[in-house]
Amino acid sequence: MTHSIKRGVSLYSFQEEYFLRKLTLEDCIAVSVGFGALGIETIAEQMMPGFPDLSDDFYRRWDAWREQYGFQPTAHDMFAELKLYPDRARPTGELVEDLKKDIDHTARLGATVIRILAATPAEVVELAAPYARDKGVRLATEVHAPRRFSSDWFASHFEVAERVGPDVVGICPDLGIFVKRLPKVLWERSLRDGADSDFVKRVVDVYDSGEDTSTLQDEAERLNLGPLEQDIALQATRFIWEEPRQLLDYMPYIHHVHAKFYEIDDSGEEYSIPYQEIISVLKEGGYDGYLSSEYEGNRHIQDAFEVDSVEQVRRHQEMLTRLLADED
Amino acid sequence: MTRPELLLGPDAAVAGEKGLEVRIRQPWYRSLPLSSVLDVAVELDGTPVPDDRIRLRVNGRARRIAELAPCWDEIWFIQDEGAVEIDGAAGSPGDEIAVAVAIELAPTSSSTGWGR
Repeated sequence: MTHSIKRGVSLYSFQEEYFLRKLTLEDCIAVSVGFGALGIETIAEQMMPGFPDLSDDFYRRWDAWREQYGFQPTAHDMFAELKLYPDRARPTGELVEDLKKDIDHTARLGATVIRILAATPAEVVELAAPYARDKGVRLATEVHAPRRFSSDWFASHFEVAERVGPDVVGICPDLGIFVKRLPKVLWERSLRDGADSDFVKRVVDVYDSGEDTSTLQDEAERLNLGPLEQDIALQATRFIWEEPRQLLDYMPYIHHVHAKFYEIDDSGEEYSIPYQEIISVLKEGGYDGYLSSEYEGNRHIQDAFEVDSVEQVRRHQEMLTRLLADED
Repeated sequence: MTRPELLLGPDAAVAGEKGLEVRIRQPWYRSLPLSSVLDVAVELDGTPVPDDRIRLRVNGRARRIAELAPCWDEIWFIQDEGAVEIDGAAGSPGDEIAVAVAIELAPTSSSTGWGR
């Protein structure tokens, strides 16, 4: 099936190396482009110190990198600072003003999408939408586990998207909503920490068979198990499996995709997320945006292993290349 | 989210001007306003240090923990090291002290808090 799906990387993937000052913003771009991932998604508050008041110098440097590496800026990830004031809620008007700064920044980067953090009130998106339209920027609310398409939360955001129109407001599915098997890195860590192996196996079995995970914490309590078992039971409730074909109901609204992954093992596959099935649906639906690699395995392995986000992204991009080329 | 060993390296504790100083990082994947630091707790050789002897120094300015809450417009960049200043805990070169530091953060964008 012919398609126009493009490959990209969210620089979120390199958080560990950036934190440790092993990679700079420019390094992260160069590494991604080296894997043929020409769409670059950025988190200003991670790698652009001074945001939202970035200097002309910064933007000139950015333009020069674009020229040098030939990448396309894809999305800017915004954060709604809902709890900025310890003693009072953030007024809606201030959140809208913040979002307008995000829109200006996105337009200046040359990107066309803002990842709207799921916690952002739908009203804020609607109020900023006319400004986004003027600037040629689309607002894509992230559909992120454990939130589901069937939730009231989704309904309220989708209502705004329908009212404003998909040319400006839409969604950014995070593929972490399609976790079919509990990530191996998650339960292996639990075992390393010393959790009861029978109970960990029970959690994995319940999750992987699609049964209800919400009773696992009670079960751990009945068995007189400790905090490690409580923790894996709780974590299992934060992962979800949605049917990928649901994406077909929202195709005109899908402006960006966070290609979340926890681990690409030596076989070159993502253990927990069935990428082939998902990409096949995106092709069928005519998705023509970016699959933006988002590595999130570091936190689960850093107790015992050297984190190599670059190698993980390389493997992920290799897998995407293969699946995008498949004739299915 | 980053492992504790990354926040507090083996050489984190140094003798400062007024006492002991513990170098510390902000354990999140993006920069946060100082107001998101809810608490910094320190133990020296297993004994908790009272709040009035602790200051957090970020961007070159040291503040008591209670002074952080209103600092919502000052950013702690994730690559920048801060320091916990502990008044009166001076030692001599070569002393061995067991230092424990716990930092409690509540990222300002999330609807729920996040523990230490």
